[in-house]
Amino acid sequence: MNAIATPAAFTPAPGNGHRLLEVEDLTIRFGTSDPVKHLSFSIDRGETVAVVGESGSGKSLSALALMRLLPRNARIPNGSIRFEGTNLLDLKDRQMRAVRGRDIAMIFQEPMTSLNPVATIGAQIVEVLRLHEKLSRKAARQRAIELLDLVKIPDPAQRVDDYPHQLSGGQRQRVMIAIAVACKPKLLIADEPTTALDATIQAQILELLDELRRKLSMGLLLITHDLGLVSRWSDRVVVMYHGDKLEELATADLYAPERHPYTKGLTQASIRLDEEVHYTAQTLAEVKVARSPDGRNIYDVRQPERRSLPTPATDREQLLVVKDLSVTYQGGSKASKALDGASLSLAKGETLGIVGESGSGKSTLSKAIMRLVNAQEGSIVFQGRDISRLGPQQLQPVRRDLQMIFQDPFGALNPRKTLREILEAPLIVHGVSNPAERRQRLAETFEHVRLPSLVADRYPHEFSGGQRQRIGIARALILRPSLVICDEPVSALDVSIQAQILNLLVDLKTSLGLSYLFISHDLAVVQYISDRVIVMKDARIVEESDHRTIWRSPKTDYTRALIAAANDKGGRPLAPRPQLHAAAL
Amino acid sequence: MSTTDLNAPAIALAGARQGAARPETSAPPEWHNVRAPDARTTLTTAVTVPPGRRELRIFFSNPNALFGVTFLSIMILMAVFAPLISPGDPLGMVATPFLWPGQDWAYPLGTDAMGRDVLSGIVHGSRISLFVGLAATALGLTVGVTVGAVAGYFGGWVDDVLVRIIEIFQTLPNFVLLVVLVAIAQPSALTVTVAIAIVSWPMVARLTRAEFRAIRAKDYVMAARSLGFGRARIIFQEILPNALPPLIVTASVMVASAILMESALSFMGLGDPNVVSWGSMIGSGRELVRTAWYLTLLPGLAIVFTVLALNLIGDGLNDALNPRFSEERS
Amino acid sequence: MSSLPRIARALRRTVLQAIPTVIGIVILNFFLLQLAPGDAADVMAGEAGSATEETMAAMRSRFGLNLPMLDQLLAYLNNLVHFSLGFSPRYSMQVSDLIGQRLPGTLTLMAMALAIALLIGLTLGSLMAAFAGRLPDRLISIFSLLFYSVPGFWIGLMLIVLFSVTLGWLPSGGNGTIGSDLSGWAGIVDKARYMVLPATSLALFYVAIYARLTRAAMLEVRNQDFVRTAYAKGLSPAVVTVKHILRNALIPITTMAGMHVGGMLGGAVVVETVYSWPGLGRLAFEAVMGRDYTVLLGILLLSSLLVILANAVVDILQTWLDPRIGEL
Repeated sequence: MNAIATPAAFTPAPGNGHRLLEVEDLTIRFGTSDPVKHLSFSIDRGETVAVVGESGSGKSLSALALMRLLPRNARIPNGSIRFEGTNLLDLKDRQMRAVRGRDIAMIFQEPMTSLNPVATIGAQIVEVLRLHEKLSRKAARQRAIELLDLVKIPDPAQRVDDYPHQLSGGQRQRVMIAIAVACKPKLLIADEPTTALDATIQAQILELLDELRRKLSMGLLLITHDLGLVSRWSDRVVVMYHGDKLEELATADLYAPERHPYTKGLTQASIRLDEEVHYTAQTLAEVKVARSPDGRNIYDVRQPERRSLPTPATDREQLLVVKDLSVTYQGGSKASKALDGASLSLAKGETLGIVGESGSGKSTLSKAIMRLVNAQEGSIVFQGRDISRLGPQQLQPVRRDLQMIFQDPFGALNPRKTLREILEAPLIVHGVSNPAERRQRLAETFEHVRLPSLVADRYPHEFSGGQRQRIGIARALILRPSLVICDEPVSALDVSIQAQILNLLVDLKTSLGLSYLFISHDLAVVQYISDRVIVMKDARIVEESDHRTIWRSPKTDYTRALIAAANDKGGRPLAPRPQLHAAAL
Repeated sequence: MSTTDLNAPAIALAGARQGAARPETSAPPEWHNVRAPDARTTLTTAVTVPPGRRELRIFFSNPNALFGVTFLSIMILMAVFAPLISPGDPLGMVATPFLWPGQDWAYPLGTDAMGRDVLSGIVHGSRISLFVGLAATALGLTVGVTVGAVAGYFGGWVDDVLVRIIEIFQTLPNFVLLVVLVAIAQPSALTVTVAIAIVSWPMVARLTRAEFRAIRAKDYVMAARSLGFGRARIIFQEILPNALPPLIVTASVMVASAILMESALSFMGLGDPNVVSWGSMIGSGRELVRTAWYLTLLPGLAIVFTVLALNLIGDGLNDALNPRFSEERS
Repeated sequence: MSSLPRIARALRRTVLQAIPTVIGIVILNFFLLQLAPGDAADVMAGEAGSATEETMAAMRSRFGLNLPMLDQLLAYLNNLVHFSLGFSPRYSMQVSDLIGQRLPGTLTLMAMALAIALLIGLTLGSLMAAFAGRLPDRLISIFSLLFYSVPGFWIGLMLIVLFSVTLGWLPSGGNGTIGSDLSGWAGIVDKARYMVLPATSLALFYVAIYARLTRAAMLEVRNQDFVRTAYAKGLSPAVVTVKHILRNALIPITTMAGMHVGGMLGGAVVVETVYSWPGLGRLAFEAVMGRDYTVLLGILLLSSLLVILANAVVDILQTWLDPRIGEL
């Protein structure tokens, strides 16, 4: 307790073995399963360590364990967490509460829900100051304003009395950071701090975290699934898979050849904007993990293959021509324009990528083309016919050729239907009445998406996210469409599965002669899969170009900002990271 | 989900089977985002597990629910076989008035002021209570689900109008409206049933509407629309099965509250005058509550336990079908 | 930011939304009145036992009962605008006066019951949430389910048997000692003694509702991200529970409390009958017995307005509790 109670006054010397946190042999147990097994790692003062892994790797649980905030039904059967020499697991609840928020602070993934909605942001900062620093009400408020200024909230003296809902997501994450650094902690744990934010905001938040780390000479534990972010913002990396720590390495070695096959697969599978990979030139690496009979994991990396696919000619027959499409939503008394005069065209066999941040109107555009929302103005000419005013009956034959893949693999499948029911229903609706023919079409589609047809009588919840996305693709393909609209098809998936699905989509495109309208917020993904790219912002299309030009010589500031953000957020480290110096507060 | 997303059929199958044994699914954590650190995969609401045995198993492993089912089954049997269990007119005078329970074993629960057998009254009274409870619920559910489904699915002006109507009925105090309706229509088993249905459908409609609106916005309904499914198919195949769990729970609670309403009406003298009912027994025993309080106590216990049984079933169904907080109980 | 403009906006919205509801209820009321078998003249004639056709006709025209329906509706609306709910021949009194006499009794009873129900319900619910899944939770849960299953009139009678007949502690009916001239503190105690049993009978059902609701709301809030943030600050469980969890859980609880005002009015009808409490419920009972539909429908209309008023109060309360409501 004494060791922990020392004020954060001394200036740490960088990199000379000042151990801040030492986790040894940590196991976390729920009932009979151990989502984290024998984890050991350490953090020095002022150092940034990243724990990276996909979902189910146990990285977030490990972070919560450091704060002793694990769910009630979790146990820690063995291991120790030494913070400045004291094992946190030995502390009484009271003592642990004195550590939380003062010596170790944490920020979470969801800025939208991580702040109490009924208290002002000022009150929420003041609360932690009054608790640990015993400041007077007035002094705490003054300090809260300073902290808001520190995390670069404009006009802090005004905003201090705002409620969380009056702030944007990025601002809320800044407030979370202000709360976390209020008592100048020695260790800051950031659990996926930018995952829920738009790319341009992500870079700013990471910049801020790194700046504060230097100013306050904090250790920073960065929990993330995003390798790009790791390579740019951390000193050392701990790679986890399924509760196991696979390896620990200096960030600079992340791209070196001798690494764990999983790490290697992961780095290769995650595409980056600055590498300019394109589907016509190569496949994406796939990492697969199988379980051997004796219960060990076998890691298998499929290396990227070079290839040269032809780029589809854009002057060929136009499959889809959209002109001046506008959608206005009537929300109570006020109307909001969700799509404002969008025009685009898509040639047969082409993939048109659409990028934009949340609220840019890209999803509305896809739903309007699908006629799932009605556009008030404009035309949608599909296969030479304007479908924008067709009634449900006339649309029926069109729908066979125009299909959609949804973002959320969990929400896009009716949980009460088996796979067979999900896939046969479209055939029945579209008049395939012969059961033998339906069976045959089903088998064919299963083969297309590489799912074993044995699983046809299972329910969606029995499948993993990636498998569900394959089912979603199968449902879109079973009617043999010519155009498939992919609305963020890989955004909800882990990196390794993202690569598999993207490879699959490219294969299907070439073998079945499909055209795609591919929507994503992820520039690197769009860069990989698109022949042409459209950039959207505030319900409008702001730029359109072929897949090379748009990244190399963007015409608008907005596109430049998007590209800068994507490169800023992560990418191979070009220069050594700035180390902390006497800049401590 | 884990990276075990495999192409090889055998392993994929094994993976699917193992599903339940994976750490992230078998360890339900309390925080929303813990399950999936990269929570974008699980930001969606908890996935309901489709049809099934699992729900039934949870339901029948709940001792409270089991008690409810057992007790209710006994009551239903009693109602069906009332003429056999206790032959004769329950309203007929059979013995000396004011026999206390246990005083004469021919009438184990005693007799009332008119010399009527209390046990016979309770046995026969179960018929009207259960009939009104079940019939009113069936009627109320039918109307409520239809109105709620139409409002929730179609939206727009249809929704506006229906919501207004629902609101009017929800503003009128239920029991006062019930008394007015029965008083105007003259009490009988049928009018009481219809009147209870009239006051209880709005709650169902409101719930159904909310469910339909929520499910209608889900991607799988979007997918159904984009595949060109017809309205009927979307409503009955895609939305309704997923809206059922809360409705099933509501149904059991509705039966319970219908029984309570019927008994209160009978107590006030607004029940069917031709049949004996628990409420009317309490009503007639009321004046004598100072001396012969067993006349009030016994039929009251019959009501309490029947309603309790239904509520226990409702709770059990809720835990089984909407397992949001079920981990708190296990 | 001041919350006054938000509350004003919420109030305006509530009032605007209430208007069509009120109109709908008034029209429904009128048609129910038309559907009622016979009319007040029949009833009075039946009671007097010696009415001739002429005296009946005279009575009908005196009360406007022989006019065409549309005229009657207009007359009814006109009366309503002048705050008149019609005339009760049976009581020889304006219905509005009659209701006015009885309303305070019911309101006091309801306020008392609501206070008891909220106080005990919130406490039990918080306890259940704190011990979720463990023995105290299960025990309270069974008790609350029992309260939830007990008819109000029956528990009323049973409380009389226990507390006034057997133990003799409390009076069994009425709202004050007749003929007593108590004033000041003694008067209040006297009144309170009469109120304990009816208020408890009425409250029990709602104790169960609020307890279960509080449990559910607190468990829901307890799992939210901002609660984890609060723990990460180093706050103690007690502070987190009161400042962060309960404060947010109050929002859904208020909504439900508002929705139960109508139900509580209905409960009051039965409980007042049991305890001979001189309120609206007792009046409704007498009206049913006397087939005095004017009074009965007057009560229905007025109690609906009461519910609308309660909803408005809840809306304001919610706007005050939840800064997200009423934002532009």
